[in-house]
Amino acid sequence: MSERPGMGGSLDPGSFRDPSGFVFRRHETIYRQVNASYAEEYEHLVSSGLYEELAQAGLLIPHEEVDTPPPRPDSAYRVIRPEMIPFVSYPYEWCFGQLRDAALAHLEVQRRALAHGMTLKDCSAYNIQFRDGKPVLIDTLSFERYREGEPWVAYRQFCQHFLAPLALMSHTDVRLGRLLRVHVDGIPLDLASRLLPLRTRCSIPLLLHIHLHASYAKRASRSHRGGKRAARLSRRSLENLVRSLRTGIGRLRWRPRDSYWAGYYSELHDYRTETAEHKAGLVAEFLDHVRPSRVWDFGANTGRYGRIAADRGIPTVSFDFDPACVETIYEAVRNEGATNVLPLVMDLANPSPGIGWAGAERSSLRDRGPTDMLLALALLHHLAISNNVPIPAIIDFFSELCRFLVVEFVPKNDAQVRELLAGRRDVFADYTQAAFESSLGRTFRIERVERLRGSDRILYLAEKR
Amino acid sequence: MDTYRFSSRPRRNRRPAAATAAFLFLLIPGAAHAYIDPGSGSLIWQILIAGALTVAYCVKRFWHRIAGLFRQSRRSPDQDE
Repeated sequence: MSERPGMGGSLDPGSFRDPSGFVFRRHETIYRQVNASYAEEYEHLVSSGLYEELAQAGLLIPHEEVDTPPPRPDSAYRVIRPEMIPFVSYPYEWCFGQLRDAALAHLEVQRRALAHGMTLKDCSAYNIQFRDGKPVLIDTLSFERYREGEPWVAYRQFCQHFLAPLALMSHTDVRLGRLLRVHVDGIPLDLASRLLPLRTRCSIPLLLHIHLHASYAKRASRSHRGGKRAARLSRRSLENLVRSLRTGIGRLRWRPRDSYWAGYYSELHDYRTETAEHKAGLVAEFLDHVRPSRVWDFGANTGRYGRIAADRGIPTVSFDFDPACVETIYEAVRNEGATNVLPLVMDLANPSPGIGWAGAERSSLRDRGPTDMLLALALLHHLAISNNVPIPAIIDFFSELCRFLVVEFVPKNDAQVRELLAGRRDVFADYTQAAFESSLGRTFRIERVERLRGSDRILYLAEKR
Repeated sequence: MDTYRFSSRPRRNRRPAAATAAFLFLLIPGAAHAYIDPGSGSLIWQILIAGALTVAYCVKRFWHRIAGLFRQSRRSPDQDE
């Protein structure tokens, strides 16, 4: 947040491109200033009934008009207070299903907007957030009145932010969704076209909106000498363009298969049900004791332990580095209509940094914390041994992110650790329970120490000093 | 001879194609309201394909209607039985 002294608030560093208004924070509440230049569009959004319809359908974030003084009174028309999103996430942290649902939600918004004489003037994936497990448009100022004959200015942005990454995830490799972290304005279509397999040219939507679109745009940029207005796109054609995009996205599929991690609990390895049951009981006990306001679950896997928190009505974010695990959790959340779980793809050895303009447009994971309680179950050995991160460094990282920590120590004699050490030199002399407890005790006050039944694993509940 | 003629065909077509492209770029739609760069190529491209898509959807709907009529007339005798 960039502080502006004397205004009693801070401007959101990710809300500066659109001249229609901007987001600011004051006393831990999010507001949006609507600029005078956007007044007519804003009034049309409300008076046409579009706002009401979208808000009721859960497609647009509801807001209230408030009397809060605007940070820039000279340009202000109104100040609105949108409903708060518990945790802001970004497209490069979403699994395939989340990005697909976000894309379909965006197209549904555009379809309904056209029916009310409006259109989306941008289609950034960053304008979507997950609320109660469902995608919702958070940028109330994304609409403008539709002018008959005008093409859709957000068409290219939609293709770059949604269609290209989804096609790559579906047809090339699901890990290519992470390309969105490198390309903040979506994946360039020429790049997507090169990376997609030849067979995608047989899909009419992908052929039209990615392959031919990319080559045409490339040729256009070479030969364009400044244009004059004349060409028109009828409303019906525009609706059909949206329909074709919806068909293209609707056909894209990705199913989690062959994932070592997604089968972690089902295969069980040396991880007995008795141990897992005991751990789940202890997690529930710790949650009831601490009553955290929000929980992060690191290394969530199937999301089982995060769900214990979510079922108690605590907003929970479940992080895992495996897109298959996140997809599985998301599918379960969607099918059951669970509202308090947000699963996200996150490599904890390389968590989301601040990116975009000035490295601050999209916040780092750390800047989105701290959380009240952090679950780090069956995770420590992966960070310490697979990634060679010293235990004190792991504890320091956790201490920056939470107040309460529930952490599991997996000793070297555990089958999981033996597997990690097989075929490599054991350079982890400090990987002992005593050394771990001493590190933990330096930054945290250890409240509970419990040996898990049927194993030598230890579960700790600790509070930051 | 045939081969020569075949290969010369695209060359002969190149000029009209270039002229069409140049003409289309003169038709860049007014996007004065866009605060993001919509991409001039993307604006023209969507106009080209949206027209084609509309024709395709019309044909599809027409085809479904015809097929529906046949299906109905085939079903009617069954229903009578």
